[in-house]
Amino acid sequence: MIDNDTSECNQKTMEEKLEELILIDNLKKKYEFNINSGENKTFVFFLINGENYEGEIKVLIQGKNTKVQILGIIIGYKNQQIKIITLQDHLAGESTSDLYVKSALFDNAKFSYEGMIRIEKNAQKSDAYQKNQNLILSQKANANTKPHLEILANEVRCTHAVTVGDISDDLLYYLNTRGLNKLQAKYLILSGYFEEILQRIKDIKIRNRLKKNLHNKLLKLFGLKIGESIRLIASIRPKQKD
Amino acid sequence: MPYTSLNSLSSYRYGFHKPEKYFYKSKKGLSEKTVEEISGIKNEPDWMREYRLKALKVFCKKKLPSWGGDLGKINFDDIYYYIKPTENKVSSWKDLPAEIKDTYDKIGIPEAEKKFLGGISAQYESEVVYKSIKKALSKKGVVFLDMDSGLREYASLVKEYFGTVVPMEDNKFAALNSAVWSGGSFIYVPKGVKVDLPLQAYFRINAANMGQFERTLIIADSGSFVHYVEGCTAPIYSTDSLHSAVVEIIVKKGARVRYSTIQNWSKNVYNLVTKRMRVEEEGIGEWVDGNIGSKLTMKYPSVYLVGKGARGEILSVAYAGKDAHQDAGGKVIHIAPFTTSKITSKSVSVDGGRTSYRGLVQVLPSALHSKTKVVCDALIIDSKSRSDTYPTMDIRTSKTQVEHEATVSRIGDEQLFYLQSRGLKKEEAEAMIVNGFIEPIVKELPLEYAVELNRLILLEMDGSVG
Amino acid sequence: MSLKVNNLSAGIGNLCILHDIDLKIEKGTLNVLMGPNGSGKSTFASVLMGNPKYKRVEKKPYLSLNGKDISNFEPHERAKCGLFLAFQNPSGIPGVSVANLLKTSYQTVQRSDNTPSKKSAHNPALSVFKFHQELVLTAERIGVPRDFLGRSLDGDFSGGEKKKLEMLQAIVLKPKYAVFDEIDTGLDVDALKTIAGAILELKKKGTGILVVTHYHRILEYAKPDVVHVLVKGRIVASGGCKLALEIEKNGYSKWSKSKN
Repeated sequence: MIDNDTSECNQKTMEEKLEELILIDNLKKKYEFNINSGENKTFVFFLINGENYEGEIKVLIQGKNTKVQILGIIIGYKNQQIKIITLQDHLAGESTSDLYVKSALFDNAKFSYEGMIRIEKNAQKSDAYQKNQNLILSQKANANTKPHLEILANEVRCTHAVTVGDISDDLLYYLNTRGLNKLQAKYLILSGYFEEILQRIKDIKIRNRLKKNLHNKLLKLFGLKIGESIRLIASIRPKQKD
Repeated sequence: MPYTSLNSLSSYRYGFHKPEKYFYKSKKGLSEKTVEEISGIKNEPDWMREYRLKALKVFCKKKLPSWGGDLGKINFDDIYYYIKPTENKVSSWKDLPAEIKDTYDKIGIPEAEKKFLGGISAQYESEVVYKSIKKALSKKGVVFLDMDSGLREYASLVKEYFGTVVPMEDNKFAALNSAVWSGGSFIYVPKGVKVDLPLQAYFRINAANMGQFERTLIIADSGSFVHYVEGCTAPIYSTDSLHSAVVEIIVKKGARVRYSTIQNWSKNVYNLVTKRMRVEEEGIGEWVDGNIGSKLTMKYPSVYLVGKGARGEILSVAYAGKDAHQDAGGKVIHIAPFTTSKITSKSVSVDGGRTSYRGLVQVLPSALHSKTKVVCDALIIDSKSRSDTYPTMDIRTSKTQVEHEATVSRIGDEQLFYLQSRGLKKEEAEAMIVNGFIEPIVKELPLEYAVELNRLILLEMDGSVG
Repeated sequence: MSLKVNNLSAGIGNLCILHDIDLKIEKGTLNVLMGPNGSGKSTFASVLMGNPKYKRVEKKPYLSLNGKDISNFEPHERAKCGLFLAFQNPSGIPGVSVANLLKTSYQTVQRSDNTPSKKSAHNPALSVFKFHQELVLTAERIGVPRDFLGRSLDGDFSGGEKKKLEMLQAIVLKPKYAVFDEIDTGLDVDALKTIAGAILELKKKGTGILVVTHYHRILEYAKPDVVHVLVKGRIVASGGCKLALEIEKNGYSKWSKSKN
């Protein structure tokens, strides 16, 4: 489901100010979304198909009392090039935007991400957050990230955080001692890694569908069979409530 | 223009006498002729003159950076590129802007310093201090001279390293400096020598440090240590509007260099500086960078970690008041394995000022097992002011740990109320909070700078200055 | 000589928290304000100090200190008049050490005129030194380790340690009237005894004290002269020690059940 007309997908009735979810699973162009007073929207970009992606997601907060969430799950492999630009632009005050994007990069994949948070002069009492974590799983993969802030109002709360790194050897070793081989351990760690993003998707049907796609992709990437994964999860992971 | 009368005075200060071969007429604008004249007046070896001319060509070709502050108003033809040292100073105490005189009073700068800073006096009592320090240093084999003298007395050493850390092609302003540089410091610390006393450009008492196009070269041989401090918290009035310095530092195996700066140029100055350290195996390079003044500062102290286990640290504090733009930060390039770096930036914007943190962390494929962390905190005091953060992380290896975090906030109401309940006025409370905010970096400066800086912030925020 | 509150009603936005409060704190007495959670006790303490967060319902005079109307004074002006508030949750001020804050506050509050600080004619170093000596001695007396003084206010202090640091400030600044907002929460018995002792000492020196608390524990070590009960923003009872004992036995149910 991709579109740049926010009123189409997953819309609840006007009386319920529930969260709207916009899912983007193929980023090939620029998207611009205007958020109006009182609206509550979640954007999820889910890019795991191995294609080259290049696009922009601009979220313009035009009205007060809005809440915007931007979530991203990105897997890059082979010779993939992924270029993403996001913008959280607070033009009106008393609103919140929260971006959380995680990537996992294999083989020769190159991921370039530019995330801007801009709070305009009159947008007082805005809260804006951005968190970008990147796991580089092969020596040839690259991540180039530019989390930018332009803050022109002073009564705001704004933070951003970025990490780039690989999976810790200690963690791999720990799972080894619990009977998992390297690939199984990595699969488990990555499932847990992206779980945090999935948990933020309130629509359970969509969440489960994405989870299934994600896990299938991870299994393929690590050369594991589906049956294996169920046994793994059952044996190690605590029961998750949904 | 009466330059000749001051010639002899400045020669005395620099400690060298030079036959008056050229009668230098100061002209505006930059040309091959100007560059040749500069080199001629200084009596430089041919290789330096050729270096300057080549750099001029590079300068003319290069474009202005498309990012950063607004450089559009700089008219390169309307600038004097070489002025004898005292000429950029005012000729009498009366001509010094009122707010600067005021600040000197309030910060409590001794009379003699005031006169010097105001450019009135060409002599300075602490010349005596400088001479005795020089004596102690030369006993250890440490060389501490102005750059012109360094080039003359240590020609081969300078030739070996000059332009190797910041080549003229690096950026337009490095090219400019390479063509017209004058003044700056030359320091060489021999193997294993640790210089305990922070070397202060202040001691060199001269406008060479407050010059427009200073060039500094520091070579710390293996296992050595030196801490160089430059600048002044008190506002320096400069009639020159363009300052473009270059600082190159070579930190050899196991050596450590810390370079601290406090810049408080007057509000007409464009301060565009290229500072870079090359750190070899197990070496440590540290920048402590304080930016308070100027109209626009663009400065990104850099550390290139070229040897295994090298470490770099950049501490940056920026304060932007009315109409000022501090575009500062740092760059770290991890080239060798097992290298670590940390960048800490604290910025404050108030009364319409703008601070921008600009940083680069680059980890190349060869920099295995490297670690880096960047922390940027920004305080926006009022609704007129602005704060930006523009970091870039360019990571080309998997065996690394990179972290970056930034926060932008304002002074909390509860904090203000707490301090007010202890008797502080709102402005005093804000100043105390701002001083506390930048404390982690200020405490790394030599004591008298730290004290002066705290008082300056108090004054600035109390609105009694400017 | 007293700190007098007359007919105070105040709140935040549209919410009125305090209703028609009348209260007097005489010089050299220990007064206690008790009440269940949410009754408005901390709000009252904040309003006394002039916290701009809270607004009065009517802009008429409500607060006088030794006869002087300070109703429209800002917090720092009230501090200069000799009013002190020990915060329930002292705000962290990163990078500002306890000693530094105290020294600045001491100098500010001691200044009877409003002249801006200049390099003083007499040797400032001596008085700073003396102040520091006194600070260290006082700290020792109430069990605040010396190294706490150099740490920043938002450092890793426990709740109890923060309370002690507030107490330290009260002693050093020598206020005419001191309000302690929940100074007893989070303290163990020994600390409680020390704090109570310090409060009594202040009282002896002439400070008029108001201890705001919902717990009676501190009263075992420092007997109050006057006890007030605040429920839902109103003073519902005032009395002596006996009132405190009654609350210890029966709680606040007697007043909470009654209509507001």
